[in-house]
Amino acid sequence: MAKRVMLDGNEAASEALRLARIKVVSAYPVTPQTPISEKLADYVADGSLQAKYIRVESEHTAMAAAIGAQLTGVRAATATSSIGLALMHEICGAAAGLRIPIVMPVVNRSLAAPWSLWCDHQDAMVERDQGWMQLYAENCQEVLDLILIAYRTTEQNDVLLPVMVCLDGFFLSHTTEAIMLPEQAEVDAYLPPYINKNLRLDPDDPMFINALCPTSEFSEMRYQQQIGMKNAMRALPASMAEFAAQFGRSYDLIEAYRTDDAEAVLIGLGTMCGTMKYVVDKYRAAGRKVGMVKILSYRPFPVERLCAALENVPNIGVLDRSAGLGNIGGPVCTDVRAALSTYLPGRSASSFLAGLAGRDITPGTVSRAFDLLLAGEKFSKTFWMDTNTDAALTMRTAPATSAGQKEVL
Amino acid sequence: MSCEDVKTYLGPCSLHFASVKTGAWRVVRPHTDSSLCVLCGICEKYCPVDAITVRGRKDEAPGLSLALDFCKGCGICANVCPKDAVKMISEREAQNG
Repeated sequence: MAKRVMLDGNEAASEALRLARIKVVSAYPVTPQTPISEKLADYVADGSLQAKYIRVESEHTAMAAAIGAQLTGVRAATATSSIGLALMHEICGAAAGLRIPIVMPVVNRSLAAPWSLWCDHQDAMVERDQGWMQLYAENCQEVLDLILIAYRTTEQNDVLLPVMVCLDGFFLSHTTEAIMLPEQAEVDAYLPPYINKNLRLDPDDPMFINALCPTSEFSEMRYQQQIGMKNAMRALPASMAEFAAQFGRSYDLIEAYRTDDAEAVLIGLGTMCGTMKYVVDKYRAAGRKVGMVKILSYRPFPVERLCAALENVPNIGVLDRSAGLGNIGGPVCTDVRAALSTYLPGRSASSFLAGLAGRDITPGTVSRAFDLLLAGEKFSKTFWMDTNTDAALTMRTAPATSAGQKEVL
Repeated sequence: MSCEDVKTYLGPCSLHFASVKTGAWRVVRPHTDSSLCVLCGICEKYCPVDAITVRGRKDEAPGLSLALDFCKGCGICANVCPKDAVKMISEREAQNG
């Protein structure tokens, strides 16, 4: 029987990795992921996790060691956040290109500069096109469940893509919730032992991995990865259905919440979705027809599912938690617009931005976005919500110089 | 390779080892002055292709042996030698005399 326990998001991630019977951990601490590194070290020390813990000197090596370990035929785990993920960037590409089904919790935190410890999605957005699957959790239960679902999905031989399971820093990583913790036997029934049938390291049967690839084959290797993404789009819902049968909790690529007759719908990732649902319920109780769509799987991006959910919605908005600098919409909004213009010609979405570096996305924030959408306002260029744009350009006034001049930067 | 269970691999890998003899790249090679060498084995440890073997630890005659099929002539052995016993000499010179 599963137990109902109090866990924060980092503990839920650590429990999921332990339940997946990882055999190697190579992790480097970085706020707010650090408790995952520590928890896994505790498990190894107390014997509740039979694994080798490699104390690496950086995230770059954490991923490199995880790749090497997993190539020998075991599940190898690491986890990171923000600048740690940025330092890991190069090797993330290797994991994807070598088709290594590593599942990595990413505790979302903004990237420097300005220096910050708090949540936004820019760290993961930077990795968006690296060939990793990206799943976003709304609550601590989803952190645990999505990690198990990720293993089940990606270890299929026609998928083989590394997976980031993204959880909002502090809002999930350090917030305790009551969650159902499955028993090892239940997880074993869902998640069979890992058998590596692809690239492998075996001294008795050598293989040269990741040599220089000629131009004549590179596009084909990339195309293989795209087919993996396509297969993941089919395999992920199947794994979620099997998960529901085993554990009784249902998931899907997207969650469309009260969208059927909605006049305005907001789309989001991660914890903001809980706030959106709360506001949707309040608006519905007041007779105002709004809904929301949570994107669980951001890569692969469930374009057709998303457009089917939005087909009859006149006002669509996307709330991005990263800036997408230099464009007219945040990254999620840009993807949604591309999907809409392809499948529902003539339709677009308004771009909202909020919640950078841990700034709360409050019910007030979400309400303002709904009010603007219901009033028929369109934001083709990003609307920076909760941002003091008037003061932004005069925030730092330089002190008077010796010549008595005052410069305003 | 003998992996009958898989027909094709996904991702960049090579299964035929036609050009692994990296000795063909070499333009200089290490030359050891046996009067200076103390058989410490540091060069053996550092050699990136494991081309150096220290002899004389058991009943063999002491000295270094070099796997010329694999030595790339990178010079790490000469750099790490604490006794300056290893010098890099030109390949042409070595082959001619």
